[in-house]
Amino acid sequence: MFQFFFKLAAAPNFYRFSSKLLPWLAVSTLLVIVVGLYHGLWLAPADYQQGDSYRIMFVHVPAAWMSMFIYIMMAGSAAIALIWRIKLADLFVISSAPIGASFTLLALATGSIWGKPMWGTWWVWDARLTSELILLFIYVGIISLYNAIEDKRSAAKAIGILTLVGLVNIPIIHFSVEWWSTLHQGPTVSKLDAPSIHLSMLIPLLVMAVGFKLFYLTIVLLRMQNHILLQEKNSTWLARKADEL
Amino acid sequence: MSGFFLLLKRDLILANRNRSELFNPLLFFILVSTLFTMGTTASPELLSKISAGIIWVGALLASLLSIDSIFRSDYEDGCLEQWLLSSHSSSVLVLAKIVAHWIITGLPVIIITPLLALMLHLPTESLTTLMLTLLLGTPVLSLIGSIGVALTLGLRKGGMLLPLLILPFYVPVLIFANNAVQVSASGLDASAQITMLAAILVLAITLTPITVVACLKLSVE
Amino acid sequence: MTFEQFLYMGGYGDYVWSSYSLCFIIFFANIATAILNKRNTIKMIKTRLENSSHDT
Repeated sequence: MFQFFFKLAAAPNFYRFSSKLLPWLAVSTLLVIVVGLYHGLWLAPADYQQGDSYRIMFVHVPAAWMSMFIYIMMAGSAAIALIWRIKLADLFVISSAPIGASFTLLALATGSIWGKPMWGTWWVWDARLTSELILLFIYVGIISLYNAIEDKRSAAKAIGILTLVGLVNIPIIHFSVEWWSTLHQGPTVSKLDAPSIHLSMLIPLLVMAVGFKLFYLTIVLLRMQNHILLQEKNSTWLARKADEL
Repeated sequence: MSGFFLLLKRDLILANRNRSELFNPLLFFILVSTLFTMGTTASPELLSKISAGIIWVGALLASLLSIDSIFRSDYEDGCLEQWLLSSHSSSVLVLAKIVAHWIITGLPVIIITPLLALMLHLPTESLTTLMLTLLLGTPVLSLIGSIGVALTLGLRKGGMLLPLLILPFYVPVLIFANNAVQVSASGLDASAQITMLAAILVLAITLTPITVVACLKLSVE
Repeated sequence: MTFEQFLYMGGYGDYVWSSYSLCFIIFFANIATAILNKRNTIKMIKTRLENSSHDT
């Protein structure tokens, strides 16, 4: 079992393995999301307080979860790359970053859209929204740094370090913003999640969360394949395999 | 340890030779604070509420302006590479450079703050708190800033990349500092916020030098 | 729920549907860029290999 993962750290093996996995991932992503959408948009009943607008939750919350989940994955991968010097782990970071950034953007935008009917305003300097905005800047910084450095091997190492620096800072940022916002929070701002959520709403939420994770996995593998090709463009295994691509 | 003081002394002497350059961040700090006032309002009550924020944002921007010079000239003439290769502990040397940078940029900002506080109608009860937050916070700005510089050192077209990288990490310092001053202005105890700032400073001093060395090694190769 | 109720979403139709459209756009952008980038890279590699084999 360990041998299997060990072999996977080599680019050709990873490429082959991910090529086999991708169709399955793509199909299951589609299925799970369709099921989640059907459940959330059609089957689930309207909320007592928020009416039908709460259905935005089924994209907003999974997007927010993904924005944080992806960053943690990136940080873990950066640590692995740093400690065990596995190049593929470095590629995982830059492959994940744009996906993380887009989920963060989605979380912010849908949060803002949901906020308008709920709080009456498009933006509130609420702890979670502000932390999420800063997370977006961190993602954009990581992507910009990678693009700015010409030697892609150094670039990958640099964003690995940057990601880990961000990992230390994100809890501090979140804590400070929460501190800041609770002292300014007016009585009109309501909390987004109720203490207990009804099963008919929980199920589509979890299904969508799983669907989003599958989507992430699909896209990150695709992007990793692209980076592997770019990295290995001079190698012999690529020359031999070129016709199969 | 002697390497630390040698490097510190050398940087301070060098800075002293370019004394006009010393004043640029300071002037910028004063200008920014004045501009903020002119761009918003001159009414004393409103100013007294936002003066701490204005001063802090000014300090932040001034730090951002000057931080690039921390490694630039040594990188360009090859000294940096030599220091990294030398038998001295690289983290200690990096810390020396950061301390020198703070003495050159952060300390003048702290010294000129009472004057600015007067101009911006900062409530007098909160002046000591403001000074304390600056004393604890400006070293953190130098520390975190040096990580950003180390990452972007080899780049020709750095541009706005450095601020983009560093500013998210400046946010907690800004928030706790401003909050401390607001709380003390209303007569309450701000020790919680001050403690948080001190904790961030300790964390930064501990983790930054090794991180900067790792980034410098990337940029120098 | 009827189809009309589905679109109207209890008065919140604009908000709900713009959110879901945004989600769809972002998903689509991710898929498109990933696939296009990979396709271009493969094309680039194939031309490089052809060029180098012509030289030898």
